[in-house]
Amino acid sequence: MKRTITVAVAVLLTAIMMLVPLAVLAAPVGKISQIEGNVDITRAGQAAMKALLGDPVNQGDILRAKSKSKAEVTFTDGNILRLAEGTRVRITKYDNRENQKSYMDLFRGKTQSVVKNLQKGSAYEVHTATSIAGVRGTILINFFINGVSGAVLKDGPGYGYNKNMPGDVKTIAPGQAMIVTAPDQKPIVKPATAAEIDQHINDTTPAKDQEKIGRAHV
Amino acid sequence: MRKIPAPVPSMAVLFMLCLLILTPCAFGQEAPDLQAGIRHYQAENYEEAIDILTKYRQKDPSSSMAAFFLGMSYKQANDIPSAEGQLRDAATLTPPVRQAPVELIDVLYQQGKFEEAKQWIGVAETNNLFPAKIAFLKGMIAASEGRYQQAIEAFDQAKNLDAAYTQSADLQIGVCYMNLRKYDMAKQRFQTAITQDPLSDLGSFARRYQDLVEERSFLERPLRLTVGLMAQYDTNILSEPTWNGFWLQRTGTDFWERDEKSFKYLTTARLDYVPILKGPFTFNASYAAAASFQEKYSTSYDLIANTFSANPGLSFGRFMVVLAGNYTHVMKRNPGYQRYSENYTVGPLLRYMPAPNHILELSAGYAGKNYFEAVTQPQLWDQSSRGLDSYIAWYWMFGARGGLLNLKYGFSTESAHGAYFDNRGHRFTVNFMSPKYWLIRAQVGGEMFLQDYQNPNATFDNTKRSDQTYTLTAGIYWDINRHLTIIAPQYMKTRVFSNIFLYDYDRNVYSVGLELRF
Repeated sequence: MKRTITVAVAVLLTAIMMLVPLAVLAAPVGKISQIEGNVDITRAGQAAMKALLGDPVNQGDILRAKSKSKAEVTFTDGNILRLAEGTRVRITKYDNRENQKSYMDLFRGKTQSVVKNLQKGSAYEVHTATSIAGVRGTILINFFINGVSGAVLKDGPGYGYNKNMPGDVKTIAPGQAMIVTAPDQKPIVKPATAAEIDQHINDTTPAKDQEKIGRAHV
Repeated sequence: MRKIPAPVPSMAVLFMLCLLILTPCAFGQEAPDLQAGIRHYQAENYEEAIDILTKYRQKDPSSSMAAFFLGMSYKQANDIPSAEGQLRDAATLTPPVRQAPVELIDVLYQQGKFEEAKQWIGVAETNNLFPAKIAFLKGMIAASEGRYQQAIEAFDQAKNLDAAYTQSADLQIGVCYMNLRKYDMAKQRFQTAITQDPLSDLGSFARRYQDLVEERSFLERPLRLTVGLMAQYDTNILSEPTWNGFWLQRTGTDFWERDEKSFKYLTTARLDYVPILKGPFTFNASYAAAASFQEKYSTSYDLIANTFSANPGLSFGRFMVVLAGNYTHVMKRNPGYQRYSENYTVGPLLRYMPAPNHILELSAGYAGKNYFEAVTQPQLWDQSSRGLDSYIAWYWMFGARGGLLNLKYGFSTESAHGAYFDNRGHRFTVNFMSPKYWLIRAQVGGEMFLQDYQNPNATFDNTKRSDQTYTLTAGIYWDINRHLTIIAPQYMKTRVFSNIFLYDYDRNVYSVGLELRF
């Protein structure tokens, strides 16, 4: 009898230990905090469904903003991801613990990342078909349009490179943009004008947030 | 009659039940359906459209409509290479989709496949397919190939055929004029594009291009005037030797003990002429004047220098050959301004760009110097000379904010009228200009110049003079705007080690000033 109880407790503990990480993985990493127009979300193994304000966002989810549509995801740690119209992006990995990397896969369109909170040794990156760009605390705008990848930094430094040339990592200073025009082309770092950055921010910020920004400026 | 045993109908019922349960699973997967694919495309569900239309094309490879919508879905999903094949099928299958050639030309253009794109333009023009759009794409391809005048004509045609193209055509025409360096015309077109719809994306692009044109037209202006005003404090205005014991021994007087520290005011003006020539020809010329006014010894040390230079050349892409020539005339007060010296260099300069942002330069020139002040025993003391002045240099322009690193080695020979001044020199230079941050640049430079004189000097115990000159410069430059730079401060140290004490000296110059550009 004693032996049976011991075995049962061991089995139970093992089951709990196996289930806890799964529960952690399944926990939402953020939620949809703004939505404008027609946006859908595709969860792993499911068909796309209309995204609604307040919907949880999990690791592996794909968000798609259609024409004249925008969306904003606020992660649990306060970082923000904004989608411009015509954008499709996957929250491939989001882990806000120390020494962990979070990254999105931007399939098309344009995103704005407001990275306010990053733990020690961690990184936040946006990957496109041809480039990788990351930051450690800034506003990062990424786009992948007509085969051209770009990363623009508003304030605070970052880095980026062509996926096919990982040895050639470029430092991107605040107010600079890195452009990768083709898979076989070296990244080009160039100044980004204030008007250019404003345009990108405008493209990616939902109207309600623009109102807030406008009010803050007044 | 034999009864059918009871289990048999039970098995049959079970089989039918299984069939009923399983059948919906089998048919539940969406069958390849062209209309469903098109509906997904129209709803901007491009990934779903690709999935369905790919299956449909496998089932019916001859459907041009399926090929077209699959190609368009790939195009919208940014998978341009996959779009190309589908759109080509849509344009060639029967019946061909009327819009397919236009979309195919666009994806070919995006991939830089201009030759095939031009063939399809021919097809579209023959069949009068979407003439305005085709004219616009024709313009885009011509512009990408550097045929700007033809591109402008095509964009104008697109505008005339369809008013909807007016703003984008004006923007593209502006870009063409910019590349043709016709900046006024470019500005005009950008302004037109802005006026049409100032709040649109194209209007915003046009504004950015207008700023760029403004900047470029300033940088590439053919006549450039630069004026510099600088206040200096020089710790050794007379280049006095560090040790004067020799003269003390010989003359019994402390001959060189003078107050060698002085403030100095330096003004410079430079006029550059840099015309833009057609074909491989290049040319630039400049005139520069510099005047220095000393606080002390002004009647014997104030200088006025005039320099002329002209550099005609030929450019062959990454390779350039220039005939570089310059002439400098110096006048010195004594006590009125009198001609003091002249020097000139003329010779070829080869410039090669091995990689973007890297320049290699090789120069070898014939150099001459004439000094006009009379000297006793000119066969020994006249510094006038002829010789070779050559160098090899590497420039690396790094970063988007204008960082520069320059390494240079120079070799020179001087065959002087006075035997004591025949010499050979090796000059090693390194210069670093930091990228610009918050309008500020920093510059640091160092030079080592080793000069070996060829003949013993009887005045100094038959010593063969040997000089080692070390120069260090450092400065901060504040670019207020494109017209004004403040130089504050700049420091230059010169230390000459010579085996003849007379030429051994130490000098520090501190400067502040400004540079104006027009």
